[in-house]
Amino acid sequence: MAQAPLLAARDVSVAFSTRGRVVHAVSNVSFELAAGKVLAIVGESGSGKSQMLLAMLGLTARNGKVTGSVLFKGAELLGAPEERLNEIRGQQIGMVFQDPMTALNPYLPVGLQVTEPLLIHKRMDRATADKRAVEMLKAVHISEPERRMRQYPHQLSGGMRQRVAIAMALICDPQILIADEPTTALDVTVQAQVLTLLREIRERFGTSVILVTHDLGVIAELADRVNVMYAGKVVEEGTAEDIFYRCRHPYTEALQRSVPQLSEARGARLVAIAGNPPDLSALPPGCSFAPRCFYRLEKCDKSVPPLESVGGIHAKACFYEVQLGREAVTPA
Amino acid sequence: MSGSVVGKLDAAIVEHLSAPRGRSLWQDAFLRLRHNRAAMVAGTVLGTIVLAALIVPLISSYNYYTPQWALLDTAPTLHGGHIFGTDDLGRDLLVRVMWGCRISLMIGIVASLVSVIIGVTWGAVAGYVGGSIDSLMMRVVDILYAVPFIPFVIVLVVLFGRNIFLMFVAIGVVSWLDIARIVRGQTLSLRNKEFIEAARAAGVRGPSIVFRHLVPNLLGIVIIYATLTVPSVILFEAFLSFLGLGVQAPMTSLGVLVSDGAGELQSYPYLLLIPAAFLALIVYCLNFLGDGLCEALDPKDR
Amino acid sequence: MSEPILSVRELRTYFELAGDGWFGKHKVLRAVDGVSFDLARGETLGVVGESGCGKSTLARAVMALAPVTSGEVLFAGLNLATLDARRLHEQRRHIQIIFQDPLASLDPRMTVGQIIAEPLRSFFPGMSVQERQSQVLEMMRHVGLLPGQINRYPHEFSGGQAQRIGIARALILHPDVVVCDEPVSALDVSIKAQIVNLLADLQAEFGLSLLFIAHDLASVRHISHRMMVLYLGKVMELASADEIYRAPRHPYTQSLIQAIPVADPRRARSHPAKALSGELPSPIAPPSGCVFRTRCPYAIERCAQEVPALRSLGQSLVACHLAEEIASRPA
Repeated sequence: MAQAPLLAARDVSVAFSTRGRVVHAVSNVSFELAAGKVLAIVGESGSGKSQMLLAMLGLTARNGKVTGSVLFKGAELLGAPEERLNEIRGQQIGMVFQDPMTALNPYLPVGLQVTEPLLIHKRMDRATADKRAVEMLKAVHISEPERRMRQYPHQLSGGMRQRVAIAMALICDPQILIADEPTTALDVTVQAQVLTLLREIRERFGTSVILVTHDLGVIAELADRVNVMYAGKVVEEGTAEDIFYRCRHPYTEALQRSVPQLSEARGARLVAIAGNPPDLSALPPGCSFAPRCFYRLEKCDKSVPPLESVGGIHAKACFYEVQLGREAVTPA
Repeated sequence: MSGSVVGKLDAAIVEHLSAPRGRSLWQDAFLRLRHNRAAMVAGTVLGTIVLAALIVPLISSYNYYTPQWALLDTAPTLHGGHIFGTDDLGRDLLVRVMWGCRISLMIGIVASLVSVIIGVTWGAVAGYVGGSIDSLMMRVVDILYAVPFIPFVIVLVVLFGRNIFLMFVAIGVVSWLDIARIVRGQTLSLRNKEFIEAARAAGVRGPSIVFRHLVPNLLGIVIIYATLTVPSVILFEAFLSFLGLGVQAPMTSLGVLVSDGAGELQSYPYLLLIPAAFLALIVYCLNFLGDGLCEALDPKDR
Repeated sequence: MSEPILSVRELRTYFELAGDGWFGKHKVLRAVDGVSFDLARGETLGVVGESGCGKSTLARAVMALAPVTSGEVLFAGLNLATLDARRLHEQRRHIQIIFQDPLASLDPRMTVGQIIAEPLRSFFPGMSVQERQSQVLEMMRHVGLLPGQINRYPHEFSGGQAQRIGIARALILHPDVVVCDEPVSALDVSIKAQIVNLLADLQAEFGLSLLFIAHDLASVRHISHRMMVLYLGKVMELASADEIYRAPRHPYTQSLIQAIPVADPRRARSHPAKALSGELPSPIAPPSGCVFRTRCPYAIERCAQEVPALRSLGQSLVACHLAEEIASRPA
């Protein structure tokens, strides 16, 4: 029995006009998020992944134009009135940003910042909110939570700040947690702590997570479904297994090949993706990845490949027909 | 090798000579400024005033100092030659106002220039060298801040007489303090930037770092500050003239004109209103320009 | 032939911080606390550690861009830490540095050509403009920049290209040693590989010795011959890159490796990334004895009392009292 997805985005596009140029940050992106699942959006700078998230929450900058539809529990988010969006933000959808240094207000003690969503959305009194905040800090494995409540962000380490940000995003028990590169700025041991935490959150609270990252290891650990974005478009989507073992898009394959794995032999040259990230205001007429693609065909320069299913929920936007990825070669 | 281009070196040099010049941050800022309507209007108005101030006294048949006893205090009239009327000594007000603009702008610009040069050097050196020298230099600034302006200028006037160069010196010497502080602050934050470290690693020595790397990166804030200093200097000079400490008669400045006109406000209001209008206009335009420059040079927008 | 090109002995860099209140005792931040290593000609030594381990300070201390409290930095027989300014300046052309944030390390008001030419102007002030230009263009070719880009400004480039400019600037004097301070951390995944490959190629072409600093074990391992693991300013382990992965001896190295999530969903389910417990202690008040003991699963009493010396175990150097016992445990 198919359940209606918690969040459904259809053909979302975000374009910015600055000084005569139009920057197509996001072009016709669609995805679905089911309750209790983790959706990972992979992409590098210029892929449009962050702009996609901001558009969903109505946080796009003023010179940006957003089209398409985003249904949250059946109701349209894009273009919704500000009061409705304010109600949803922080309460039903929590967001964690990339840089823990700037996500917290340096002039306010941690306690005030963590309780703020409670005071605004749930109208709790200060004492109850404080208690709840301490519980939340404990849940994200912050040591000595009562003491931390009175400290300022600069007194905490980067990892702790990120966990405080996660606590803030979760404190009103949202149904969806959106995390934009939550571990990128962190050390690898701290990242592992945050990953464990995110896994726990999904298991304990049943929160759905949209995770935006370019770290393939993080995706392998957490994601149920993966969307790969390049130049503002979705170039491949599927389950984690589809993407890692049976990928069909050259960019996905190239990403995996270019990340050095500890398990590989040393000294072999890393397979780099030639060329530079695309200029979103001057995209080529055909496939945006064609200029850097190893498998480029003539028709790739002429027309944009549509996103087509290749089995189950696995879909790719590429004219090249052969399956790539690990299971295409001899299995390990 | 990934992405390398092999080419004959001579051909490459020829190509380089005609290599497209990238868009520098200054050009970026200038483009942004062009889009700022208020700043462009202000710039045009100011430009017109400057042009008029330069040209009108040259082409007018009247000058700013010859009294015309037959034409004392005539009202402004479009016919009869004296468009702005005459003052209490029968001198053409239009020419006098134009001279006033010249002098006020000249004092404003030159005094600001002097204060900028002194202030930037002082602040950049203090900020870069740091330590006890920095403390010493800043204590000098603090002490000078405590010197009261007006008595200081009065003393200078008493000692050296009323003289336009004295105006430059007096104002310039006193107004470099603000900019020294600001430049020092900026230098402190720039000093730890990686490109300064990179310059040190590349073997660039102290003074070269200050003048080749720090100063160009400070110019943005200096320009903004200077354009906002000019109007305040002009007003300060006007104030001094109002007190009778400014330029020597028959030479005039907007401040002198306002001061003279204020005495005749009841009977001949135009003697005050016209110079005051010009003064106000110049100050407004400079402020708008300064605001526009602030926005244009704001690095956050990049 | 086996004479190392750079030798660091017991390097310590301590910073003094203001104490609490007006009369508090001054606190000491031990950024680098007794680091020793050799760098052979043509070798890449990877330095790995997390925030607060002192690797950035180490990079700068070796370059004499940060103060050295005690210890030696021996290059060509001279101790850079105690040289006078003039002779230090002379040596600078032999040791250069590449920074982490490419855009921050390039003066935004200078063109690419001016940036790359600057070291030449410092050390060869008599060089003609033509000669300088031709050397700049030659180096641009080596790092993969187009000659037509010579008059452009840093902000017109992407991160990867900007880093190429930084590399060109570091190499224009043909130094012997290049310190790479996290040169790819700020870059996108697909560009990291390009730059790492470029550095490896340039090392082979120019015979460079690299001190490659990073927090990412995997990319450092690829380019390094040997690796050094730092924690709170001290060396935990020093071994060949293969050995560090094949048989990590120090508990911290083991934790680092276990914490890396593997890009393989099936493996991730059975062996998820394992987090290291506890928080990083403050470098102002490091734990007594072994600085890692507060987070070490094997810590015993001796670890709190005695600082473990860096000693050999098989092919590696390890600073751990229990290294033998840990090594003999089943995997």
